Amino acid sequence: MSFLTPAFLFGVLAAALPVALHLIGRRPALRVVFPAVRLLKRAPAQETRRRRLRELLLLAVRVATVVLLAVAFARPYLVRAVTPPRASAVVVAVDRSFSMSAPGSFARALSRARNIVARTPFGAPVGLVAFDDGAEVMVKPSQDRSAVQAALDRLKPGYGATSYGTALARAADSLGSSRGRVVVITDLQQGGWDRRDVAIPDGIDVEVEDVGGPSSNLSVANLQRADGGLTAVVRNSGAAGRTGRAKLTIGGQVRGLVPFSLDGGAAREIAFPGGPPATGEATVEINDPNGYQADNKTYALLDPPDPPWLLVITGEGDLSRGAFYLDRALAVDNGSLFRVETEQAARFSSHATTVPLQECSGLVLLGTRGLTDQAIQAIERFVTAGGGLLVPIDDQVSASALAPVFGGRLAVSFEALSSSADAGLLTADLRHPIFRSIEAGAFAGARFERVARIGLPRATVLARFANGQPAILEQRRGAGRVLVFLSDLSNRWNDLPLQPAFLPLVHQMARYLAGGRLPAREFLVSSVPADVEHRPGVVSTRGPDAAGRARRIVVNVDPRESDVRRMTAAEFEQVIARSRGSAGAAADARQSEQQQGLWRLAVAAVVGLLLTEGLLGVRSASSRGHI
Amino acid sequence: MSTPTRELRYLDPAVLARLGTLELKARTVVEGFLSGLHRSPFKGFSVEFAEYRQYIPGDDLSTIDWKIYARSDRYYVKKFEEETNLECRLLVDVSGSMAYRSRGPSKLEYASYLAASLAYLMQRQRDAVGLATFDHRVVSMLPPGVRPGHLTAVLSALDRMEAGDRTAVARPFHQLAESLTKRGLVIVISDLLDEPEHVIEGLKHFRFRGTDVIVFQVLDRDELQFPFESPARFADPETGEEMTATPSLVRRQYLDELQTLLQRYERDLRVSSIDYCLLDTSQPLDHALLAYLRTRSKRH
Repeated sequence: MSFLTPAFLFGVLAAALPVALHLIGRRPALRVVFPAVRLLKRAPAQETRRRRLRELLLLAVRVATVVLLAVAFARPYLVRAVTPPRASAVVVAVDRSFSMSAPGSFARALSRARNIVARTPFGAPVGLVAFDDGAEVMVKPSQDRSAVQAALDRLKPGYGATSYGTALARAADSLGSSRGRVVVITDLQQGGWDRRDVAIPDGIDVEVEDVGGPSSNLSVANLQRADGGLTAVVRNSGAAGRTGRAKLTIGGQVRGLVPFSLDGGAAREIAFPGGPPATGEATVEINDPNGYQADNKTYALLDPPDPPWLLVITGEGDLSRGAFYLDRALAVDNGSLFRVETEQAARFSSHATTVPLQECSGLVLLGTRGLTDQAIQAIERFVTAGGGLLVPIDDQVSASALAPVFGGRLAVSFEALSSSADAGLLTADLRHPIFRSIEAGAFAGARFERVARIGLPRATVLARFANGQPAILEQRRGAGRVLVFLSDLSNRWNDLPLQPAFLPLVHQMARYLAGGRLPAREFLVSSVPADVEHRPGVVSTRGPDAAGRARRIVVNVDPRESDVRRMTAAEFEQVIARSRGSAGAAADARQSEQQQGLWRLAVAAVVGLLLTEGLLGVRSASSRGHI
Repeated sequence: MSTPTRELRYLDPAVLARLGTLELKARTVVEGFLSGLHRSPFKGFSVEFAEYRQYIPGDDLSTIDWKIYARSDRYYVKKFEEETNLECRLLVDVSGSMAYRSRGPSKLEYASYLAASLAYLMQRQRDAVGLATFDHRVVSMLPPGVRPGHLTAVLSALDRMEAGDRTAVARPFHQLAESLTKRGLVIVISDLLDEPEHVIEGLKHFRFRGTDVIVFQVLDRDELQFPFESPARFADPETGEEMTATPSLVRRQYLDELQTLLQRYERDLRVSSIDYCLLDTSQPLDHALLAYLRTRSKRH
């Protein structure tokens, strides 16, 4: 028997109350000196015994009433009643994560699976699910045993990590509404439970078949440029110390061979001497024939990352006036750092631009003349979706027109600065990314003749003019960011573009704007783009952009799967039991409790006991002469 | 002239309790009692008056006291100027149980009033009166005497009585019976809350010695009626033994037991020619005095 609200069982403690009252009341407080006690002693013994028996019965009834009341509130139900009937259908879930690539592991798994299929009683449907961090129904539960055997023949260990929750959920789905049994054949890696919660429907038994695993495993991961060379991390997840050599290969040629020695459970970074080429594919490989095979090699792409795409919108389309200094600053190093597209506001509004906004990493708005409301709303959507926007407030930009972008209508005024004391730009927070590699007084010599004043809601001041007025503001809009420069960037109202620090400032602002939308090029097997096969290596993908440009990405295995720590079958089943004991089981328990309605019986018993108590109480009271 | 009713009210123990000395109490009782016997408290009661005795066929009918007849349904005649030399001993129980009281006087106080009244009456009849107190042993003893001032000694001894230890009458009764040198009258005043066999054996010993015995069993009204209502722990004052009981539950059995005990005393003592009189501490003392006179006249 179990209880839906067991906290009410604490009410059983109240049963001590009638016991205490009985003990107190059993010995009358009144003491009477009476010489003829000897006559009293002869008479009432038999009656007293009967009365004592009646009082004990009364006490028992009262205690039972309290206990039953507590039990009724605790909502009892019989656990046996919610135990599902013996499973009929069987789904075999085979672990094909790369940890099963240890020598012998997968062969044992297949053998176990075949045995289970063979042992399943005739007539019981059998299905097959293969799982790693995803789960695939290879064969839906059916009477076709040969289909299951054929699927097992095709099954191989993959490159994914283990996720028992995914496997169990998928296996349960494949059983549909029917009850059944899921047999998980796995090496019982501990890490398999980390990735998601498991929710196992009631009526499904889960069994586990342990195929064992290696006691030690070497893995290599995290190959990257560092200090002009390449480094990688090797890890020994076994208990005993290991030694080995890491081989660096770039473009198919071995470029380094570095020995290493690792204590049990240790990891260390190894550096490969020599400068790597600017482009190409690199791999580091170790030799671990007894461990997992997929984590013996890691991949890296030496190509520089794709430059951020910036779209500069001007009002007049006159590059020499609107975007000249920005364009020149962004085009340094032969345009390898940024890809800049300049567009007239009117053309942008007509959607005739050659660069779709959603492809851009950042947007620089130097003029609003010609921007339609639709274009401004598109910019607002771009920003809130994670894009970056730089807006210098000058006579080319109508801040009021940009109200949707800023999240409210703005009051803008312009001010001419005549005093030399007002000149200069002071950074408010040098730790901000746009001031990276810029010294504190880098803009102190800039002369500002005209500046804008604006009340931007929820904005942070990043820099101020010498007179204390805000110069650069940042506003977070959704997932994106907006930088507002309160003067112009075209050498008309100030000479900032002529300052040496202008170039790094523009570069850092561009990178900051583009930061949220730079395309990723390093993936784990479990998270590769849809058009990429789930296996490690350097591959090409069309990427997420609509332009369909191919780009190269690196896919590596999940390093968490390299851990050889395992759990026992009992521990695995405990996790299942805990899962059943939580949400799903609670609902089932509630249903069972409602169906059985044992609390009603308890309440009925309480009513009966109260009637009995009343009768006994009346008799007891009348026998005492109190009525 | 006082009315008999007014005089008799001084026989009420509750009224007596408010009087001063024990001698005053005794005198009040006896004279009130005697005044109730006669039309006038002093008529016929003089130095010549000696005693009453039961009517014997042949006696002068004019000497029959019709008051006594009305009270006792027996014929008594007044004897005048008859010298007596009766030796009378008062044995008063001073065990712990005698200290019990419910509303009026305690059993011990009642016993002292009774003993004092009897002593006073005896002295008026020129009988020698002695006093012994006992619980499980003889506590004090005053030999019978008729000298002037002896009554004062008796009353003083009665006044000093305090309830003592447990009751065990066998030993003191046998001791006192053995100490008797002359036939006389023994008056036992006790609650007799002891084993009846021991009590009766002890009293028989007095009879064996040729002594007349009157037994006044003094009980409190609570002991006779058991009027308690609430459950309580009933504690024996002598042994300290406690018993928890619900009065309504045990009353009937208790009263049956008590009745059995009283009937046994009455029956067995009658067989042994011992006068037995049950007294309730709320009752007037004239019952006891009448019983005494009855026995006195019968034996002497």
